[in-house]
Amino acid sequence: MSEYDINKLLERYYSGIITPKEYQELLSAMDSAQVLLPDLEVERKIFMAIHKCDISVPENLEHRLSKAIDRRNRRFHNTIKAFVASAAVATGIIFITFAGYFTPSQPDTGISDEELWRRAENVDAALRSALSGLSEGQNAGIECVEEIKITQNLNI
Amino acid sequence: MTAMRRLIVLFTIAFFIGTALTANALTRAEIIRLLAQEKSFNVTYMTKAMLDKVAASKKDYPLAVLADNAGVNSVRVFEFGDQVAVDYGKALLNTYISGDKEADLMLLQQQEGYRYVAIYGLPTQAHIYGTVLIFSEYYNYKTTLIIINGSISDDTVGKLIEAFDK
Repeated sequence: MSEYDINKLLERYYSGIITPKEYQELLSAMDSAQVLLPDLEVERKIFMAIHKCDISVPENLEHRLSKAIDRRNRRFHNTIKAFVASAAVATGIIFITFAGYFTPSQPDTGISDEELWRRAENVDAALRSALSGLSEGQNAGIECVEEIKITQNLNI
Repeated sequence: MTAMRRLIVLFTIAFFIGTALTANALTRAEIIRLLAQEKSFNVTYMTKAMLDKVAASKKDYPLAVLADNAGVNSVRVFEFGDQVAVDYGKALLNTYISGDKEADLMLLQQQEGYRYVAIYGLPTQAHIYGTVLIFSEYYNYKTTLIIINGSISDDTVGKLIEAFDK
């Protein structure tokens, strides 16, 4: 196999797209080659070293990997959930603590509600007594004034 | 004859001094102090906080017009139950309105049979009163003086009359 072909197969090998047949060809070329260019010689040593390693794929690796990925995803989701829950609790605490600032508070009058309403009723009664029927009287007064004006104009 | 003249002059001077003293001696505080001793006298005082609480509890309550942004700081209702108290009440009213006549403004006066009502405003600026006085008298029955303090507009006085004129 020419060095050009070896290089091509090596590229496919490193890219992970080499077929089993091409791999066997590359292996036999590397194994049987007597003299190679220095660069290829280095590649050959690496390739043969990798080949000699007994890389055994553990059983159920795929299953274990997917389980590990699931676990990681679950942990991520749990972290998000914990963060959201903590934020909700913190918001609740802040709202309860500062609720007084957000809701209008009843003014402190310094007297009991009973006394407050007694006073309110008293003031209400006094104002009602003083002001009730005022506009009726005013209107009557205005009508009276107009009547006088008309009378004066007619010189009656 | 000279002695008689001296006596007349002395009596005249004493009369004028006495009149001046009785007319001007009683200050507002003194009148209130005297009123406090009268059994037929009663006073009700409401602060802005009290008015606001009443208005917040009952939105349609007529007193609500004096709460929130009406500019009212306090309301005092003086009730005079007998003639002595009524006289003090009138004297108290006079301490407010008999000062600078230019500054006093009679907003309304009404005499109807046995009933007399007068509303005065003591302006601090155009259309704004620092004190509004409502004096009402049912002869031989009940006399009240309502003193509203704050920064009260013409509009608030109008709303007040409207709210209670029912």
